[in-house]
Amino acid sequence: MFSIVSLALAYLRPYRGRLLVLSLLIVAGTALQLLGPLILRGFVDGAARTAPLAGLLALAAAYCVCAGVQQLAGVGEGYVATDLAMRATNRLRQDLFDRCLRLDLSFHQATPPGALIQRIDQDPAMLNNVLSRMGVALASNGLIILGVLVLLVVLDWRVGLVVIAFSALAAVLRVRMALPVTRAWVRVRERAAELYGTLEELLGATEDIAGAGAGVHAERRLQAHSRDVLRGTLRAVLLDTTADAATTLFELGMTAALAVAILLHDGGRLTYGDVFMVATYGTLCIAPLQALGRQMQDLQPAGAAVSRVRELLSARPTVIESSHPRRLPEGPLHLELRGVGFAYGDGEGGLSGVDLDLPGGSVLGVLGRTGSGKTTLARLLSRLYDPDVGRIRLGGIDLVDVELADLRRRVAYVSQEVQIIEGTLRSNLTLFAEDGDGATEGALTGALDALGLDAWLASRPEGLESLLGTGHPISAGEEQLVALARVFLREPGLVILDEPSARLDPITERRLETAMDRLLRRCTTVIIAHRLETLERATHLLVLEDGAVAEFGPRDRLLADPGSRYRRLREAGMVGVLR
Amino acid sequence: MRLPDTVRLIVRFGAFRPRLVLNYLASDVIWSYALFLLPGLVVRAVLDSLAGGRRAGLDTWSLLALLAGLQLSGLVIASAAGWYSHQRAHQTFSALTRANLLARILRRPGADALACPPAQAIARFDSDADLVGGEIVILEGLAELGVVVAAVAILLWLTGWVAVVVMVPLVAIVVGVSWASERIRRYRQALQQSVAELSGLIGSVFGALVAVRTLGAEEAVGERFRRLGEVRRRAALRDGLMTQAVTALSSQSYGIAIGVGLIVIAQQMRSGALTVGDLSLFVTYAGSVATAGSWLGGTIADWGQYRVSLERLGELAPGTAAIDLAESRPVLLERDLPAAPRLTPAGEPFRELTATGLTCLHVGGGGISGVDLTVRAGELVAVTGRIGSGKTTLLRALLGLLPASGDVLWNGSPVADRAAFMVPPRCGYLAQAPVLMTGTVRENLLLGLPPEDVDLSAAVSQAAMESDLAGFPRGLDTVIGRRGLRLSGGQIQRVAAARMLARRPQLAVVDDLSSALDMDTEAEVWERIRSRAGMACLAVTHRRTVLRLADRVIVMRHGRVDDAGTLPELLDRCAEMRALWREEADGR
Repeated sequence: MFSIVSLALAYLRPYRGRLLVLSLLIVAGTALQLLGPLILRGFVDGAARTAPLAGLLALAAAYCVCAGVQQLAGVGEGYVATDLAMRATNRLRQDLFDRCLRLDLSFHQATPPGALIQRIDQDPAMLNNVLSRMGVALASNGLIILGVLVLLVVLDWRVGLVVIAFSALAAVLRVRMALPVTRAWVRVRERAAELYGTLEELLGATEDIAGAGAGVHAERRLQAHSRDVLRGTLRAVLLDTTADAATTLFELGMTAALAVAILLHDGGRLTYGDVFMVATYGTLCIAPLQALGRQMQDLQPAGAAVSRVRELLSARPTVIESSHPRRLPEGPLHLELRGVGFAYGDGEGGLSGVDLDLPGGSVLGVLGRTGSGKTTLARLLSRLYDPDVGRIRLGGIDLVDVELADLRRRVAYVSQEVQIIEGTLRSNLTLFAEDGDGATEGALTGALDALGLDAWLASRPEGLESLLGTGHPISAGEEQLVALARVFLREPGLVILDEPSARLDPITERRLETAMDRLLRRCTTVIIAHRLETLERATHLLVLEDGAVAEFGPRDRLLADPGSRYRRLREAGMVGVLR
Repeated sequence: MRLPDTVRLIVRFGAFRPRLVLNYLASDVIWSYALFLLPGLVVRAVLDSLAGGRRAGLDTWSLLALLAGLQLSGLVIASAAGWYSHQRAHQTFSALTRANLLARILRRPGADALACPPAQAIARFDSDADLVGGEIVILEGLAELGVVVAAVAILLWLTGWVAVVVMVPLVAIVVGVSWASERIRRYRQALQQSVAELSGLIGSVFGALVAVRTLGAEEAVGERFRRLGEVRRRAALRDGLMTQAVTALSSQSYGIAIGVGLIVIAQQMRSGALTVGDLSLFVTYAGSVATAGSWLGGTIADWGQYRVSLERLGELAPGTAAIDLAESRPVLLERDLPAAPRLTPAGEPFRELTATGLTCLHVGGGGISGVDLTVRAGELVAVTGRIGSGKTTLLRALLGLLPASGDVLWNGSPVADRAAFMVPPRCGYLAQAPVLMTGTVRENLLLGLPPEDVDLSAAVSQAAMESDLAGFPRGLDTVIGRRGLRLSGGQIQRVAAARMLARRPQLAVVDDLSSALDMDTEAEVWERIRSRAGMACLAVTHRRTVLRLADRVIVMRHGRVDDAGTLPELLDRCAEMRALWREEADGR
């Protein structure tokens, strides 16, 4: 509860004006609602004393006005609250989105995109509910109940005392139950997240499932999760209704207050109108109480969502901007590694004691088996991770001191992972940059031409505006070519290519190689390679074994050395074995 | 008269699990709404007994005790039993909706199953399927209507024509609400669309995070996110204002109705024709009618949303009627799940597969047209061609993974439903970029098959996976992470190959093993696969080694068969084949 409020306040701070308007509307609406029964008391007492009809009619008219204004305030409340909540939660979403974009790769490898949708979009949606509906409702309903308590105490302290005693009991019960109920709802949300994680995986593998005839298996997996969600929900509901007894306690309190008021009326201390007012306030409170109860129930999952939001907000990336960032020199970059070591949490595929010295403009071919650390090297060079020990110097500057924006501009990494983002071909090339990243139409088509994608582009009726992504499939080869086209659009000083020729047919590959030759002239290149032809292009070679350098040197020297691994592999035509 | 789909679906939900609905009706619907009206009558009797007027047979204190009793039973029946049975029905029907939806999606051609990105689909599975399953609350809508009618009837009976004063604004509410609901539908659709776009962006951006990050595109992507968020805020405001107006319209009449009622009964109160108890009943019921009326309005608004959600779910699996979402299937949420399906051995031995005129054109251009091919028992037929020449489309069309026209004959008999027929144990398929699932290697190989039906060690060895397996900490029981991403590309491909081989297909359809396997491993896999007696293979490849192994080669060009024959024939007469052969300099 406290964490929800503090998070909400932090994000509402920029909207103080709107918040003030909202508060005024709520207070006005509540005051008018409390005024109603007071007018009714006057009406009842007036009718009993046979007061003039005009007086009674005036009271009735006042009641009408009061009700009308109250409703107008209600609409205003709703509008301002929705606006406020959307603004605040959009800011929160933005923060979460930006944070997730920058969090370490290890976080993302443990968190599927489907789960991130939950955490970036749906968790704040919970907070949005809290702010736009519950917050307003809690405030106005809470105020009404508080107002009734005050008015009853003013009417007669004994009536007030009874109601306060029951209310206090009710409050204690609510507070006592809050934690177990929250925990139960957290579990439900977790189970739901698992369900959607599995579902996303299944939906992403429809081709495999169909090909393996495993439809029933997929359905069983889904159902197992559905069952967990149901069980968790029912448990949470039972706890919730226990907490709901608080509402009943308050109702019983109002009934007891009515009994006290009747006793006082028999003793002549309260008028008939007073008793009527107590009864009316009793019924007036029931709807807000039920609403309060419901909102408390909604608060529980919101509390769970907020704790996940906080966890994400407090997560810090380790790859961060240096306190004194420097820019890389122009042109091909000199690459130097000194005693570089890195280990993943699970201990596989790391690197240790890697030393390298690669002059600017060289082409380094990297060989090694799966798990030997090739991809890790690429990730360290592109600063997706920082080394645990040792240092990487690029253009004479320690990589961690390079201004991040400059690093991203000058170091390109074409990985084997998904390259296409939902959107147009243009936005995939420019990556949504406002000004097209400075790239003109000509530059974009030029880059595609250079990769031999001109015919492919011409065959697409919408050209650069063609949609890519799910529902608009392109082949794996095309995807990698689009990724390479991005590199062509930049002026990188270091290019890291992770098996750029994988999945390409020979003709496309030939084209690509010609294009690559052009690119390589302008920068330093690290190619994770498996094919002899790719290595022919290399000036230097690095052989990795179990995360350590097994061999490194200029290709000519290694070729001339009959004892070198490269020489032996080349003679056996066995480069692939290294993979 | 034919009921609309929206109604039929709910009726079908009810027919699926009548007891759930009956429990819900009995506890939540009837009791909670009865308890909505009864206390008002008791309070009226209390007040009247106080005035010494008409005594209702019970004295003030018994009446107060009755009131307390009603309040306690409200807790037990309405709150506990009611909400419990409500959630139980809701969750069961949502699960049924999800299960049906998934089954329908899986029934579509596998390579073209989803009409939108998985991330957007998830958003629909989440909110829309939940809403559709929860639409059972329409029963409460009926109860709300019942409360309104009953309250008016009781007032008419006890206080006479004053009730009419409450009824007039009530009619206005219902008319106003139904007028607004059409508009709500439109605004809500726009809102949901903007939410879906946002989820789609999140899923896609984080799916391609390495690209986004290494290109330094975080800010640009963040800006796009911000703009979509702004679109969503405006949509939410429009939708919210409309909903607010509906709610206000219905509760507005409550306060004003009381005020008008007071004017009307002022004279009667003074003359003693109406008692203070009557006044109290009138005030309470005006509130009840308004509350029930606005809930009714909310139910109607939700109904609009329910229709939108139904449409959106339909879009997710084109060809699915709304009513199919409640198709009865074993959703044994409370009991054990149904037994895993077994691998039934293929009856008749495979002799020949023939396809004629196979055509499958993609919307954005490309695809294949008029492709003929034949694979006989024991043969290896290779398909080769440039990027975009239609090789993968050909395999997918053949297997029913993409919708395609043309005839496919299996052992001479036409195959009507390719997607259902071309599966294990007849056909196995290894995709170019296979996807594994969270879990262990063993679970991925079995995918639900009973272990005793499968010879895992044979499959593992044929897929040249033994050395990988030896390196795994827990062998077959090694957990491979989300989508198998803890494995290398080659390992994923080998696990997928073993998954296919474990199903002992008569015809193995393989899409380019070279994409993640190096040459030597690929050659090894092919040798082992070929050593398996009787299994025919249809494989996309451009490797010389595999082309040499092939009995026949089909050369694809621009979506058509450029030429087909043995490799020497083609090298002799087909220019495209020669070009491909030349370029494939794999050192052998």
